[in-house]
Amino acid sequence: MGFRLALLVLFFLAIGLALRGLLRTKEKGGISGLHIMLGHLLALLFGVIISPQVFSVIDPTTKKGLVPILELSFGWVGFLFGFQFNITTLRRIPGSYIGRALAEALVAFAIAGFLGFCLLKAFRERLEFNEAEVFRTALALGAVLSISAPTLIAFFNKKIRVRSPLVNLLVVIASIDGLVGVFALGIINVIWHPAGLEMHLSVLLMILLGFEQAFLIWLLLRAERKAIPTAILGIGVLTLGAGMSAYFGLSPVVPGVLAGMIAANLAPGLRQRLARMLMTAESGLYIGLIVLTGVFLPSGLKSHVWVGVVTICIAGVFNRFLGKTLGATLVLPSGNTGVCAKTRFLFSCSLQSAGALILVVALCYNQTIVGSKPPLVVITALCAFVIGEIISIYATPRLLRELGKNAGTSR
Amino acid sequence: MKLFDKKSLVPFVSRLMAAGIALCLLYVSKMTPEELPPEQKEGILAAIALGGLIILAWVMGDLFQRLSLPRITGYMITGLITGPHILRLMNVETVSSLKFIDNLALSLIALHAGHEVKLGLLRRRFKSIVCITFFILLFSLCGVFVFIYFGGSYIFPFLKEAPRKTILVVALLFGLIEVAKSPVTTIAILDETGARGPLAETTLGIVILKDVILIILFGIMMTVCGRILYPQKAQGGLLGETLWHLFGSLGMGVLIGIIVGFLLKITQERMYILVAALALCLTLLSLVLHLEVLMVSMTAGFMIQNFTAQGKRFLSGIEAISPITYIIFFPVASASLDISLLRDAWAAAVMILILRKIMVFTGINVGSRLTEDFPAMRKYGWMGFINQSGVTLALALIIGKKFPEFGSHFKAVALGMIVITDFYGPALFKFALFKSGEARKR
Repeated sequence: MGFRLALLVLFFLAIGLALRGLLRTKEKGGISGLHIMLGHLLALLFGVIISPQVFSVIDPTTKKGLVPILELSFGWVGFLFGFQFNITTLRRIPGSYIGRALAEALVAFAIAGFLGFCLLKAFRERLEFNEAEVFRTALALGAVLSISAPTLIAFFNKKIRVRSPLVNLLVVIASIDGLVGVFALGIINVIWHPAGLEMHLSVLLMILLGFEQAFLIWLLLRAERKAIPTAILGIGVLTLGAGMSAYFGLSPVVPGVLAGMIAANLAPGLRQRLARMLMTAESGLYIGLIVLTGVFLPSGLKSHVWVGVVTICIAGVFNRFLGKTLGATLVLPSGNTGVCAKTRFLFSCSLQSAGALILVVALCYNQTIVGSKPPLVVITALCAFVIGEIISIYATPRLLRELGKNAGTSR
Repeated sequence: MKLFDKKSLVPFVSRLMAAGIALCLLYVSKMTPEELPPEQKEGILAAIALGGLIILAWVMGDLFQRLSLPRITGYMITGLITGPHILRLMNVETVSSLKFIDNLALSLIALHAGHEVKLGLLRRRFKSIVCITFFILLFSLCGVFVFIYFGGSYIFPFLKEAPRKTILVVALLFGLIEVAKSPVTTIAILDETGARGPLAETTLGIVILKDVILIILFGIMMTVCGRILYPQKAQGGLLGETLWHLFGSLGMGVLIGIIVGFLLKITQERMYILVAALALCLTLLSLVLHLEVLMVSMTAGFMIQNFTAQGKRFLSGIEAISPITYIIFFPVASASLDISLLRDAWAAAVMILILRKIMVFTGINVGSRLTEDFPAMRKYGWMGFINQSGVTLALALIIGKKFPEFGSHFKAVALGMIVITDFYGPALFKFALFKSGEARKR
């Protein structure tokens, strides 16, 4: 074990040094975003290597001890997502933007889900799935693959600074389209509850748990002015809420989103403090979550199952690309006032960035519903996450520069 | 802060309500449904326990702070009450599932402790620290040893008919564990009070030095005791293990400290993320290489503070993250204490504790008089060496396993002492820091 560990340390040191050299030559004054992608890949690799499947640095007992952190991540990311829905801010966004965001997500959901269903049908025997599992997994794939994230867009726009209605639309779509995926997985969870709980009870419990978290946050934090106690109590409430959701066999993300939505509309002071807390911990949580995804990737699948998993995973990434491209094409303005084909393409490519939400939703689906079955959705989400980041890192700065050139506002 | 201040009463009551809800949810989680997948059951219950503990411990800490008592006493009492031995809102498996997170928190606290030991301070107070440590060790070890060797058969029912060599071993081992003092509580109280000054610095220096010496002595003593009780068995393994624990941990700490110092220079990432990642790596490394996480982390913290230029940046990361580590570490650590053991062992525990206080007081007085140390050390110094949790608990568990004929009784008395000192140890240290004028925050 000592030798393995020494090798592991040397390996990461070598990668770290190589990356440092690479980034220095590639990013002199530029904003390629290479470090984000490499950082994420490294974190993922680290998670996989320390997991029980590879070097067993984390043994199964330790893995159990990591579950509270995983549950906290589920609750936290759900809360963070729901926290965007402040009614005052939403009122300022044109209604058509929100409609287009939801339409784009629904198109991506339908295409990725339908193509996934066809493929799963073809690979049903290899994957050892029954009819219901095929349908459920296809829905889950559609839901997971419809999610985008605005983190990379915001990162690049901070550097390039472009003011254009299309950038606003891009940010709104990337921020809101996750709603379709999150609630679709909530519905899957309610229909195929692991303990067979009745549907109305599951829905009621999800709503109650969302309110319970928001109420606890209000009780504990309404008079708290300091940042550290706010963070500590926030962690406590979200861990407890996520744990309780998992206890009832429910996805911790949906109650987290509900709690976030309620908290976003509480008193402005409390909202600001919560926003600061969520933003401060975001990057750390993000990296931690990617490591955890690596650690929690189930293993021990038979080789014939792997063939199906890999095929569907590659196809899933393609389906997502197709779904997002078609979705974006449909919702972008066309005709005389519309945008050119290149911008349209770059726009849809920028939506490929998936952020932490896709990993959380997929892992949550796996933890709550699937159990020991092939982690198809997690692996597909992981690939979509990696490929999506690469595509988005390539496309977003180009799109922003293009829009900036047209509007004359870019730096 | 007054207990019933008009302005803060309403928020406090609403926090109490929140604690009530958390308690109810913890109670609900006791009724584990059978449908919960067994491979996930422990993890899920651990998540609920952790979330509930954080809320409850914070509210209890608030209450204790209003009473001018240390927050960490409130945290420990929360763990004790909700743990598997009183309210049973968590079972033993749930507490052991939280051990990894607890170790992670321990590593962070130890990094902080190591970081607080500055070379300048060591040079300045070297004579006092070494001299006082020597006399505390000498008096505590010898005092408790003599007391138990000659009076053990009267105090402990389990030694009434025991052979002389068993009494000798029990006396040696009690003498040894009476030396232990947890650096974790010391750093937590220093952090809470913001204390800076000779008393705070000397106490921390002595506690860390004692910890290092204790680990060496423990290895030697366990080998010697093994030879006395079981002369036919080979006892070499334990000494080798101890040496590996000590030198392996120190070496790993030095190596990690150097690597982290280099990494801190080249990265601009938020410091709290790096500190958390470092603690995770240290915990995993210690787990895999069977090293002492406390020692590895303390050494790494010491190296970063004294041999790199990144000490200040590193401290900002530790300070941002330390309150959350305390609120996880102390309740979880005290949740595993079995208070019911006190029923049979309280009298013996109290007697040994009184003797220990006298010996520590004498050791500090002799040591500080010889080094002509400042008067506050003689007057209040002993109050910083009461709390025993952490190291004592670990040593008692090892002794319990190694010597089955008296191990369970030994463990009961040791745990009894930990439970008692947990209640008043931190409060006395806080009092000492205020009395000496070194504490800055209420």
